Amino acid sequence: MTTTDLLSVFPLLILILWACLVLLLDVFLKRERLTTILTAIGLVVTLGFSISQNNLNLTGFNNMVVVDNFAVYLNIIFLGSGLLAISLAHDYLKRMGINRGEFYVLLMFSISGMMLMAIAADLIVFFLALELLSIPLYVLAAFARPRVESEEAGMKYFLLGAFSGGFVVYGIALVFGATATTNLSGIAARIAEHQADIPLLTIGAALILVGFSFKVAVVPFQMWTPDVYHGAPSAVTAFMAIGAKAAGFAALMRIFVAALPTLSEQITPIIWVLAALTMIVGNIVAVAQSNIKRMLAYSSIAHAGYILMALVSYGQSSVASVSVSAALFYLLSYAVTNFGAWAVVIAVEKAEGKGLALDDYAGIGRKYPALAAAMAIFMLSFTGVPPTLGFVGKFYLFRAVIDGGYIGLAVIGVLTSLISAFYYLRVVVIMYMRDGEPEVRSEPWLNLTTAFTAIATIVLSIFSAPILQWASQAILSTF
Amino acid sequence: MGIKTLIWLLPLPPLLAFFIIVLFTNRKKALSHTISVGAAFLSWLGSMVVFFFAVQKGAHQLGEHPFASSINWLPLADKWLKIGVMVDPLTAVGLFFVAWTVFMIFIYSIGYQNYGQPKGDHDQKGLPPHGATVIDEQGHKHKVPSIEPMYSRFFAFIGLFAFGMYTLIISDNMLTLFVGWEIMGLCSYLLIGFWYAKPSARAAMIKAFITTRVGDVFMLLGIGALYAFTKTLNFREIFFNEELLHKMATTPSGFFGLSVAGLIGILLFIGTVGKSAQFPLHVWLPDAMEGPTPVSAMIHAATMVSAGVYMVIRMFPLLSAGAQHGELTSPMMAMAFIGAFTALFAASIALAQNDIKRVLAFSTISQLGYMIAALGIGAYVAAIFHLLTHAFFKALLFLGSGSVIHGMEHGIYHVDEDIDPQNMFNMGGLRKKMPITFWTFLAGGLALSGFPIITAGFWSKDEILADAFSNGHWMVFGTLAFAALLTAFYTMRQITLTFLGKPKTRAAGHAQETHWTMTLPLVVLAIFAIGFGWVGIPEQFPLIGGLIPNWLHDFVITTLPHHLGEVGFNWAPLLTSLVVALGGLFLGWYVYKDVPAGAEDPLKKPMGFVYKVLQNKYYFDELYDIIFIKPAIWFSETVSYLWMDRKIIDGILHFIARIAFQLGTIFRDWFDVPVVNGFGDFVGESTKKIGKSLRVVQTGRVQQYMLIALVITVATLFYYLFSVFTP
Amino acid sequence: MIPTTYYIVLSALLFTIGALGVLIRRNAIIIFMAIELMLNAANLAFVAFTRMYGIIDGQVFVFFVMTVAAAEVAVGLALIVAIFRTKHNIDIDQLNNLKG
Repeated sequence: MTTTDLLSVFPLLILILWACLVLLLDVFLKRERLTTILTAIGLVVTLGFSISQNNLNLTGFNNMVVVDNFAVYLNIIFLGSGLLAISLAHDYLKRMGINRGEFYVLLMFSISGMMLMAIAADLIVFFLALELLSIPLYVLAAFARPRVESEEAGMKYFLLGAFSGGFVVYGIALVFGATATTNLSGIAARIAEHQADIPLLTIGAALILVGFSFKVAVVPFQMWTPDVYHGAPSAVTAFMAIGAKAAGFAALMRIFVAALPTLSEQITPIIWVLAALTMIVGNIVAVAQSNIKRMLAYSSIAHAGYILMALVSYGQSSVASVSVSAALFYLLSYAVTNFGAWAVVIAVEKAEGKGLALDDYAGIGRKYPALAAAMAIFMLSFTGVPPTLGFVGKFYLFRAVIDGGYIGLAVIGVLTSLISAFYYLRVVVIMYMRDGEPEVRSEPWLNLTTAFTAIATIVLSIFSAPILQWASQAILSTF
Repeated sequence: MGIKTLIWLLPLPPLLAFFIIVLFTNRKKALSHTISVGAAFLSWLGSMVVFFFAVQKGAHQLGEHPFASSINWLPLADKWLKIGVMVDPLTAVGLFFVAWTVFMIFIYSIGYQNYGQPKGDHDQKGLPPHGATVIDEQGHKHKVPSIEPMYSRFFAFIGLFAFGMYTLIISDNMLTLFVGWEIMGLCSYLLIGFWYAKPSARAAMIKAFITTRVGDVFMLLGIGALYAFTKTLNFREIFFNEELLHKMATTPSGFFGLSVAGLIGILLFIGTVGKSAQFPLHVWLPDAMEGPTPVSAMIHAATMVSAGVYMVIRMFPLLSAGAQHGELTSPMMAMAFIGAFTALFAASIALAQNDIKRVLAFSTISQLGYMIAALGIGAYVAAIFHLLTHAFFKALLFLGSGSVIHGMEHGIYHVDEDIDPQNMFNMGGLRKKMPITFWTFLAGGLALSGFPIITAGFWSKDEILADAFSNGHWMVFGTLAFAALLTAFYTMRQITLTFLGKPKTRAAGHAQETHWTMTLPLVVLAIFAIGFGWVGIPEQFPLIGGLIPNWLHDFVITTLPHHLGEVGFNWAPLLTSLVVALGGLFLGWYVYKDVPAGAEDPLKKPMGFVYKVLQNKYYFDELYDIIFIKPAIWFSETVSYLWMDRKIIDGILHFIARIAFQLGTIFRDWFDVPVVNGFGDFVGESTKKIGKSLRVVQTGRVQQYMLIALVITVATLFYYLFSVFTP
Repeated sequence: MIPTTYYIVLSALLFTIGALGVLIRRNAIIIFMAIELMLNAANLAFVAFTRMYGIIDGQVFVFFVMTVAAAEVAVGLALIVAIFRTKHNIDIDQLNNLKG
């Protein structure tokens, strides 16, 4: 192992070691506050090291990992999500009676899996990262243990995750068979030299796409999402919704845009159909939901559809960088808004699965105006109304898909956004125009998260240009 | 903090004040007004600092290199749409008057809304306060003015308005200027209808909004045309670009034989016609007096209506593009005509108004006409000068009228008389009862009339007349001079009826001077109304010209790419100006000085039916009602509803129903309901239904999920392999 | 020498059997076994390809897959035990509280 290798995985290594350390400390010391603080410090330290890797552009472990700005951008999203998840979970776990230190350890392991996914450049590493990030999530989903819903959610997630993992492995096996290597640059080279067995390669790529589509929750592989998001503890759901999705998209972008661009003629129609179906199904079924967790689950399916829509034009080399940078930007905007919305859900949620119906939000506008204003901002951002970050994100997504020439898909995107306005604004209407007696939990870190994400949604939308520049530069070094 | 950052921050304090008051401090009156006035103070302070640095930088430097800063906002095709701020000499003087008038009016509002007074007996939100009964130590009951029930809301709205005005002044491109423009339009709507429970206020707020909207639509077309032609909306890039202006002035636009510059100029000017209440879109301003007086002062005298003039001043290089020296382009001719006409038109109406605020409203319309006419004939500096002085003395006059109304209300409560506190024929003799108000109002009124030398209005008005005379625009000169005569006349009429002579009603006899929060702004504004004129004394004026340099001219002229020279001095316009001002003032005093209580207007009989026409504003409201409003109502009620909906559509349906009758009611359910209720219902309901039905698929059983996914995958794979690998 | 195609067909068959097992069987433990079968089918494919190309990469991958499978199963079994403690049976069809 050379120093370059070590340097390339340094933040990851720090995080894993730190997680092991915290695990040990938690077993022996059993002080929850200490665990939380240590985890937060660990994530911040890792964040620092990740940021320092900006503009580094090196490969390690014989081309199996590549550290470029793409990875740094995603690492920052993952670590930021982790920090926000901790601030949400801090009081939530205590309130729900599941205050165990393992939560933080599992969280850190999952984040390390996501970080590994961001720097992966070899199919083996992708698989490892996929499992490394998923397995802790299975446990986290079942974290509220004696409650049947949580266990059921964990079980379903596990079954579907393992099933899709099987597809990914088999797909990798076929790709390996077609090109005699699992390294992304090697695969690209073999294809360029016409030494790859294209039919086998195509089937393998399709299987890999299927496997990762499960993770990202696109139709028709999205059916686990509402159940798992509903059953898992809300703090975990908030983290899963953005972390697993971003990691899945990172893998898809790396694999398909970097290694298999020549397959784009065959793959693009599939992605077109997947994106269209996802947007349509996600939004339409969300309209019929009355439980806010399920509604947000379907909405996250719909957002995965929007991101996929931007990626549909990845095959055209002039537009590829715009696609990917739009997707990256949208992941950031989705992360900020998502955590904000879930923070509000956690504030309103009560024990035993109560406090999650839409009607429980009635009257918040009058009693807790700041909270209602924040939730209104998040709902507007999800819909894509200016001056929120969601609007800028959607603007870039639509620009990417229109630049690629897929006007029909853009029209579907706009129409489904219109449908989504109904169920997002329904929440705002219930909050402000219906009377009720809501009970809201007020906790300093929770309020801080809500306020921070609400302000970020508005402020970042005004200063969105530098973030887009950063996301675009992240691509330049990848391709 | 650099100057550029400070400029960006100028509009923010009032905006923050708006949000804080609306979200948090609505119930606490003192805190709300402190936040609001504090915000106005911060913006004022910032504006003064910026103004100081602007002046220090010097006119020439500032004109060439204004303080500017912009950010990339939206990516478009191959370049970014930038938005930003710019302070050049025009902005600097704009900031000066906006900051002072806004700050003074905010302070004034504290007293006007009766802070510190008890809550009214029957006061309701949405109606003006009606007074409270207090019992003093001896057990006597007194009625006193009561505090406004929606006190904090007022301060929130004026904060939002101040944000809009600052944004408009400091913006460096048409887009953010339009944003500020529209925000002010919204606040104008909200504030005119502040007392929303009054039907007249509700009607007035809608009238204001819709009338200005008509202008705004054309303005937006103009902005669109400007962008389409020049691919930018930035002021420096358009107005300092000789080539571009020349191209725009010589390319025909295809409409009415106008060049592109002419068309865009006229479209944008129509926006000003709406916003600055010029003929024919002037009808909203008099009705806007339904709002509280600080609103009338700030929005409808000093700032919002000035914004319309400010915009055309900015557009001046575009409007004058293509004109040879001395000639006028099409937009300028339109402006000269409409401006001069409006000036005379409105001044004539003001002669016959009895409400103290209405007189001032028409006076505002008239003075704005002056400014627009000035620009129309190319008197750039004169227009800016008059804009500045007018803002100060008109704000002063409105605030003064508010003070008078308050004093009258005090008297009304005291003697329990039921009269209109705003009718000048109920006033009289207030000079003794409200001295500060009197002297400041007099200063403002003299400035408006153009009293020589010592008032600001004289210098600015004289410069317009001089410019018109020297460049040979006789019609404009004559119209404006006659309008000046009428202006002086009705102003003195107003002052005489209100302040001089003996009180015409008992209430007027018991009027009282108002609180210091109202009189202090009056004094400050009076100082400006008198002194501000001295910064613009023409160099060639006899005796005093040349003692002080013509600072204003030298300062703002650098905002034009070609620096115009000063107009040479001529005795004729000066004498005309003196004659009409002094003559009008004397006549006004003479006619009205001895009007006894209960008498009608001395001009009524001699002028006969002309007086009635003037009092009814030339029946324009009635005319618009007949031409536009009634037809629109008729159309929607008769054509759309009666003819199309009931007769035609229903007719078809009945026919179908008759045929379908044999086939049964089922057909009726399938055809009648979706067609009549409309496509929208169908879409909404079907979306919900599809959503609900798709929910059923989600059975909760994992293996089914996997099965469905797998089946679809395999099917796709087969289809796909089949289609790709079999040629 | 057995042609590689035979191995691949076998691995495809095993994969299919595994997938069908996941879909059809109700007992959670049997489902896990089926998932293991799928992963091992992939392992078989790897080894077969490695032998075809004469390199060693695929066999290394097999180790990774086996390790991950073991970890996965450990966690999965722990989840099953937790569910058993609550519901006293491990029939997957009974896990349908969350639906819609």
